Amino acid sequence: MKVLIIEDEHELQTAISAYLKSEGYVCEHAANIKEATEKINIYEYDCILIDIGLPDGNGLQLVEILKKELKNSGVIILTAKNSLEDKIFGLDVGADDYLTKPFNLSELNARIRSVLRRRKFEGKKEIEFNEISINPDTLQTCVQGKTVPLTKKEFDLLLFFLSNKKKVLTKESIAEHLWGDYIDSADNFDFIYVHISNLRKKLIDYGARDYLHTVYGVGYKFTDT
Amino acid sequence: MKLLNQTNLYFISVSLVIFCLGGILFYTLFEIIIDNDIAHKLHERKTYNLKQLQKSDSLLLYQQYSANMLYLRPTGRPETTTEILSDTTIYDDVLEERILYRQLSFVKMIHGKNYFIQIRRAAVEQKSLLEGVVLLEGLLFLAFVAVLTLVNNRVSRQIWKPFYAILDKIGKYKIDLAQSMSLRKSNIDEFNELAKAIETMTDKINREFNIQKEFAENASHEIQTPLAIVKNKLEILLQSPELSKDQMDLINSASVAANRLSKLNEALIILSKIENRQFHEMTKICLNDEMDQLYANLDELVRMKELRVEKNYTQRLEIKMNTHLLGILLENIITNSIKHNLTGGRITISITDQTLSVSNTGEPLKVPSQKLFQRFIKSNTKSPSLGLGLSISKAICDTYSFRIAYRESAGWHTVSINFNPAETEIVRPEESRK
Repeated sequence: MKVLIIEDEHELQTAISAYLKSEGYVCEHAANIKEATEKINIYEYDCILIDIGLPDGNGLQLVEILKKELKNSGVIILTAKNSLEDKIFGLDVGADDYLTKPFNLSELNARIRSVLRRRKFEGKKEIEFNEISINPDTLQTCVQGKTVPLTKKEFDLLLFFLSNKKKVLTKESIAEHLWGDYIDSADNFDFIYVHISNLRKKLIDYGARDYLHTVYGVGYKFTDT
Repeated sequence: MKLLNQTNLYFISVSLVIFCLGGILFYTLFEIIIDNDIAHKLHERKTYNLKQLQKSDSLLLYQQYSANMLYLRPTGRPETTTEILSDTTIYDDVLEERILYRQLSFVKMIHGKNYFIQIRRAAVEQKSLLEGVVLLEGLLFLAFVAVLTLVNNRVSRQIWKPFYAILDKIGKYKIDLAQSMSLRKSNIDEFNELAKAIETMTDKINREFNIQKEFAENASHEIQTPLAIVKNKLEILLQSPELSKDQMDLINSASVAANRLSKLNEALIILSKIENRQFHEMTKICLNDEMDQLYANLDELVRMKELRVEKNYTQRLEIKMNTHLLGILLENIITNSIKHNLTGGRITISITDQTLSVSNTGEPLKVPSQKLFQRFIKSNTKSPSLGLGLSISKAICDTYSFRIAYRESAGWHTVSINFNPAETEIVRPEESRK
């Protein structure tokens, strides 16, 4: 999977590519519109991350160019501007998703996977992890072929974990992924605990191994090692 | 008082004085002219009458013949050259009233005998002269005022037209629309100067406002990017193998603090955007539906805290405002009612024709309630919340002139919003007692 990161902030770009490389992506980057246009014209990318505020113009121009040339790349807009107009315009011109800085890398990763799933029709819809397989379209979870009755939140949680396998996910990033902005205080982290223990219990009950590990006071990790 | 009425009033009072003085002048002038005329006529009469009397055989017959115009009686006084001019009233048989006469009295020798003679002429009474003058002056004055006011109003309306046009434009000026004032040229220099001054002023204001706005936007961008770097680097650091528990804790607290900072920054930017009135689009939204939708999203949080929610909608309440802002407003109030609630507590939501009130059970407030809408005020200083939720809500309400209020009574905390406070100021004490 090839990802193009168009971001003028060097530190941010290295952080993003470090995380994505550890997830098995091939990352390239461009720091401005000129560089980005050249790369887009020469290579094919599965997903392109575009920062709106670039030194030589607005990143939304690139989205328009991409859509005009009917490139089959997924596009995610990254912006420091939490402005509704940019968001609506970005999605209108054909971006697949929108993330406001500062975002969690685990969240970015989950969004990229979701965009890629929606774009790649030829591939399998199911995501598999050892004996667990889930289908994001039908919201179905199976363990060794048996359907596990998960709630919507538990399913979202499992999908988020499977998108960020073997990564430490902080409670905050999980809360933000599941509830967006509604949760902004630590006393609500108990909710996550409840959801995670329910999910873990259901998976084990249906015969899956225990992949969910607590990481001290920080968060959780979904791993088979 | 309008400028026009003010000037009219000045004109009228000044002209009243002038007309009064003119009246007095007129009156004296008339009196002098009439007096002179009568004296002149009396002298003419005197010459004529004396000539006739010299010719006449019977003086008494002549007197009778002349009626009240001539009076004579024999006298022992010697003939004089002096004549006395005086006024008298004589009863008139025909008119049956006393009539004012002016008379010339003197002694004259006729046919060798001295006679006291009075020659008379009916005079105009002062009273009727005064009446005449006052009436004339009054009518003139009224006509003058009427014409003056009419002309003045007509002319003024025409002259002040550009002024009112400028006034109208200023009234409609909205800073957040960044419109430049283009005022029409008129043929009055003063108004053109005013228009120019206003144009320069608004241009300057617009420029300053844009600089401020850009600063707020840039500040957000500039702060969010380094924050994003901090957050992301910490996240990558967290993935390093073989971290000790202490190291993990350090990374975690740093990342929690970075998150908090970024939320704070976001909230402050929203607050400044609201205060700068940068949310323009308005839509008609049904509050009841929005409320139900929001509660559906937050259902989980409600169930986790085992809260009992009671909805009390007496009416469908429709409001015209920005959807995004209504979302923020309701979310702040509702998440507060959940966050600051007791486990197993209750929430009551009432919607009437113009108010929304959300009451929840909870710990007593530790800060004075009037301070609650200020920035960074938190009842529990240890709580991780930002203390900006209610000030954002207040800023939103202020934008639309809604009235937001907080009450605490008997363990219930109530936040109520009156969406139409101008029409009626209803205080419902029973709400706080629920």
